[in-house]
Amino acid sequence: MILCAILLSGSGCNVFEFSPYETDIEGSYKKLNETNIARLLTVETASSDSFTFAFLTDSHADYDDFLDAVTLINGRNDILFVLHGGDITDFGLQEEYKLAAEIITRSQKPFITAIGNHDCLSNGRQTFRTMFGDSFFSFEFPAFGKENSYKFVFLNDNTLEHDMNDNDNLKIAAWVEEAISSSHSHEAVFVVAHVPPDNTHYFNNETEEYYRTMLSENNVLMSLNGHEHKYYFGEYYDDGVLYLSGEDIGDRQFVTITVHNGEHASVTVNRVYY
Amino acid sequence: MMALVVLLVLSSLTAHAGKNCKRSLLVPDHVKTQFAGNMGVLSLGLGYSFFNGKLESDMFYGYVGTGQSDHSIQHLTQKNTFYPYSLPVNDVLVWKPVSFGLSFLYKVGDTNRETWLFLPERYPNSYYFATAFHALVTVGTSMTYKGPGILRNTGMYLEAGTTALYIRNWLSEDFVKLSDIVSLGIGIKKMFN
Repeated sequence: MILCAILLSGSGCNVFEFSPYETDIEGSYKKLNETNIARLLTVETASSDSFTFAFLTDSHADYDDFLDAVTLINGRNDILFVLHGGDITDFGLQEEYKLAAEIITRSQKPFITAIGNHDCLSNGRQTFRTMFGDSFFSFEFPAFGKENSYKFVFLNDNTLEHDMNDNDNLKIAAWVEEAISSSHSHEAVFVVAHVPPDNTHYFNNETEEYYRTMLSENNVLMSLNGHEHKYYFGEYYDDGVLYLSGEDIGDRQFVTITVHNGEHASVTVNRVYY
Repeated sequence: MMALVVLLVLSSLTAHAGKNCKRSLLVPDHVKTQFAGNMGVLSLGLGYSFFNGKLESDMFYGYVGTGQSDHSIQHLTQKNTFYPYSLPVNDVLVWKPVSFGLSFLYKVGDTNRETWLFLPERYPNSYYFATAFHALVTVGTSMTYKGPGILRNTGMYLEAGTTALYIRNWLSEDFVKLSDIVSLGIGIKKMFN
């Protein structure tokens, strides 16, 4: 009987679950970020003046609101791709990840996801790695046929969940610096990280200052964050870098960011309520 | 390996209990082995029966090996099952058509994987709910053999279940279907008397 059961469970229809903490992912949810970045690189900017992408964040267990946002974005021709600021789960469990991934794969636009603090719980880091890939990654989006592209750097700055010491923090910083240090050859750099650097639970004065300086000295146009469930957009540190914090999807809103072609890159942010 | 050791201990206990006519109140009433049901690939439990078999309360140890997960998982589960009806099918079979279960699942160890019962010190107060704990809810049915032979007082049960967290998500979100969250567990019970 048990043999039969094992055979049944191997068929992938999840008749049997062994533990909520299982991390093996079967089916089509593997390395979603990599496949979506590959899709994105085939997207052509229709306009020579600007391109627009959507940024949404903190969907947690608000699956209906999340799906509505994806459906709405699918119907908007002007939006080329979607970035998610992290927290696609509440407890980092495989089952929650699967539901979020099901919604993400319904996106007709390339959809790229950062890891949030909740996604790190219950061994969720491993599930994120399997389902989405590395939590530190970057890609370059060529637009307007320009020689230089727009660079997007995704960070895992959930330092509390990783129980990081100063040494680990420095390792992250070194990676980030490497990822964005060549940024002067890019039109502009966008950094996507779940926790904004002014959050005192995750950053101390020293690491906040280090992070801020690194962004401002490396041609970063915009920092896109989530976590706070509170909207903010502005030049937070008066150092030339624009900081944007998104409301959670449960409040049925997200933002679109339009990047304008020009001698100096500039952006327009629009809030979308639905 | 751990599961094997527990099985050996349990089987020796069973044999021991069988020889004693007068059993202490502390000696469990039954031993169970369960496949799946969110408590491990295989879990082994000892438990007590109350109210003429209407309520069973068990403690399970369950294990998930690295074939099913990137790391091995150990669970301790305190399981409570309520059987409101008992129907004799014939001389030797008793059917309990419906059961309702509420269990408390604990993931043993592995705090470095962000599973803990109590919030580690580095977090602000009340930052997270416990991550090493889940309540499991089941609905099931069971059949017990009461005839002669060594299988006397042996039963089988089948349960459909999920976690309280997933039920919350199912109730609040149309997107979440019952088929997304419900899975099965199968078990065998052997009563000691």
